[in-house]
Amino acid sequence: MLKEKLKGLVFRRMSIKKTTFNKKGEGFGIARKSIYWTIASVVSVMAVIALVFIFTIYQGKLVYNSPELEAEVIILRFINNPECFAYQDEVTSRVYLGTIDLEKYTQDNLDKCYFPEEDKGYETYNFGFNLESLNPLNDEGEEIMLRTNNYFNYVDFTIYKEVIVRNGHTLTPTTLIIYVQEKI
Amino acid sequence: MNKKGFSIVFMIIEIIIVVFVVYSTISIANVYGSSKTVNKINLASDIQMMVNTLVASPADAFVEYPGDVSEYKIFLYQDSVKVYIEGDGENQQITRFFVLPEGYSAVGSLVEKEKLCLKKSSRDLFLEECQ
Repeated sequence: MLKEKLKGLVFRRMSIKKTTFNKKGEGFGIARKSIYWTIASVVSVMAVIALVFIFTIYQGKLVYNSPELEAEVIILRFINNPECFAYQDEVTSRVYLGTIDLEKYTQDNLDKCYFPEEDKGYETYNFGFNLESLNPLNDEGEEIMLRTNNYFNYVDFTIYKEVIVRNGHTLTPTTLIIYVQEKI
Repeated sequence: MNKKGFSIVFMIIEIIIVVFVVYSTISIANVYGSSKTVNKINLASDIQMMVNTLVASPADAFVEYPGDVSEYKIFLYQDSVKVYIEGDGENQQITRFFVLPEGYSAVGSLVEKEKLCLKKSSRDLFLEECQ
């Protein structure tokens, strides 16, 4: 029984051998082709992947907007919109662009003006504001920096804005330092 | 299988591989090389920045987009703008997000119309066809 099984196995091995490499070497061409096409397939797939990679980089360059520009456009609202920090004359309703009303320069007002989504807001621009020597004070009398809800002190770049601060009837020219955090 | 049989099978496989590689290369080049994809992304980014600029405007204002947008479908939502072309799949639609101040609203759509206008009226932003 075992002998017959072994015979069968040997015969099968021989027949496989015959199909791939017979005496004339006819099977060699087929084996060579299969090796060639295995390598060619891998190279072709790699070429297609490389092509996708190159096109993606190229397309990225075509649609690139500088983060400084995008941040600058968002920042405009803080110093120009009276619903953010911009000063508006109560009598004439005229808005003074680039003039910050110190009464409006509060965390509450900032949150009303720019409040990215709580859970995904870190994927967009976030800002920290430093109004030199005119920042609001905390309970212990220390200056605090205003910050948007997803600002985690991860500063990508800083933008400086020359502004005028109106405190009652006093006008003080100063610099608003804005720390910009791009998506994390 | 004899030698002839193997040769035919290999020839078919060779043809299939060559056709596949040529087709994928052309279709990838077509997708990325098409200016429509780039225009779609640029249009969405432009509208996003237009919204941010209008929000910064203390008064009412309107902006006309300097280009023909008749090939695109554009939808303005409360927190985003979506641009796509007829037949685009979900992953080919371009969305850009923005953050509006409290009390502001953004709404409107433009489907294959040439002129796009973005209007700010008080606290409301409208995307519409230019009159």
